[in-house]
Amino acid sequence: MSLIEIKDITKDYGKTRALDNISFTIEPNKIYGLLGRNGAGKTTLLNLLTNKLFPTSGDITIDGETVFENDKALGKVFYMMERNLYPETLRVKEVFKWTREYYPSFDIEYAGKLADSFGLPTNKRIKSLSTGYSSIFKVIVALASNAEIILLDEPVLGLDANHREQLYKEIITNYSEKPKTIIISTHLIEEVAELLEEVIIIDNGRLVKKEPAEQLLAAAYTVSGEASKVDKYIEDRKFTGEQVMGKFKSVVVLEEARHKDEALANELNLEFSMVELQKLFISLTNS
Amino acid sequence: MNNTWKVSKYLISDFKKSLAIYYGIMLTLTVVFVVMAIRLVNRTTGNVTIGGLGSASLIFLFIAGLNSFKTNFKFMQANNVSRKRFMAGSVVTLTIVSALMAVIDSVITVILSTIIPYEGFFKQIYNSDFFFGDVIWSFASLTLFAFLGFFITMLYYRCNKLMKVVVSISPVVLMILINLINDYKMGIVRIGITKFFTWAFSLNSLNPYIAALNTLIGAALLVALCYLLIYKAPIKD
Repeated sequence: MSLIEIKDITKDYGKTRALDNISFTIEPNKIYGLLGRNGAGKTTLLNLLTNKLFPTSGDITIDGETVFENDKALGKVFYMMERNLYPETLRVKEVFKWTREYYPSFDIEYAGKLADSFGLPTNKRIKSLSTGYSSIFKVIVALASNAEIILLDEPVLGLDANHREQLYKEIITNYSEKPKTIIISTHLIEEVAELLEEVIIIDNGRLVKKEPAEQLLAAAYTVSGEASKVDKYIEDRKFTGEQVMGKFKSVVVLEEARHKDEALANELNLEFSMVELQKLFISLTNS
Repeated sequence: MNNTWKVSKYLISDFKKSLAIYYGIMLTLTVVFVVMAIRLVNRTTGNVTIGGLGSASLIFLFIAGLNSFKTNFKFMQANNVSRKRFMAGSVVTLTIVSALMAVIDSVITVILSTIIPYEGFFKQIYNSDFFFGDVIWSFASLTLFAFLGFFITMLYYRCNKLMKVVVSISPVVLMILINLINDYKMGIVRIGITKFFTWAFSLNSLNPYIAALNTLIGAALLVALCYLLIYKAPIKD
């Protein structure tokens, strides 16, 4: 059970503010989606969580202990970075062996099985792996580490659709067998939407939302139909994410689904649907 | 098993191959030396003395120190090992390797000197055949060279492009400055430097233990500087 507390974190790179006074708590044993546009501060946050970078101000603790140069706290986290930090001359199986030194719960057998199922030859050297297989290799190490907290930064980079699907299923299986905190940072929002229990949205270094996915999606709905009739429906309503295709229009209405006006929609011949996480994300981060 | 030893375990395994290659070459050279010496002694009646294998170990450890940082640091970061733990593991590893090489080199010296007229560094400088004296002095010297390499590579790692240029040319600038001041001050700087090294390596009293102590203090200072350099060190390509 590892509780992560992010307290008043600010991170500056010279004159650029990457994170601006962010505070929130990450409860244990949930799958989080860390969402944000390019340069929003997602990777910076993950790097701060794992002592790769140091905050300009603020503190991050895991179970009450600071992560700053703290091996006990850091040992609870496995961070799959987008970049490769492994010695290029090492073989995949050697990395498995050495990772067990630093993560004693690392399951070599499970790692081997995953490598087989993804078609990753464990005899290959790291330098000879393609972009996709490099991602697969790093995710396998992360999942087999059995760390209490797993951070996955762009885990499906370079993966084909089949492997992505397989990976999402494996994450769910792994999580249901051994519950842990998993934070997934990705741009493929719609693909991971079903995995996520909670969503953290960062925009321009600021925390925009941190809510359970269900609650976030229930706070908006989509209405679609003939453009003029949709316009009539959204009069006096907060809305975003307008999409027009000929005479057809769809809009994300920013009010709870339970408040939607069924009678008016019937009269105007409009259709309601659940808002997609990606559309909601775009509407929340479009500045 | 604590994390420092876990770091050392990996670093030592990383050293194994290069150490094996190095001592393979050394063994070949030793055989060549023995053959050469026997032939030369048979041909001449004069004194033939061979020496200097120890300098190869100093160079080897200096280069090993240079190559011990970046890749290993990144690998430890991939495993979420803290910087201070990585540094402690590196210090332990370089110290163990230096000690091991000091023992092996001293044994080689003993074996060679019984077969051929061979004189190691220790004998040449301190005119002593005492085995443990050789081990201690060699260990201190090897440690200093290993940490010097480690320090230089870390210094370059922490520098930006401009600072790398500054660091690279600074020894040349320093030497020119020393020469200029030396000429201006009628050789006083050169005398001072000579005096310092004579004292540091105990060349007057020929006490290898004082020399070893001074060398280890130098190595400890380099370690302290390395700790300052690794503090908040970022991951760089």
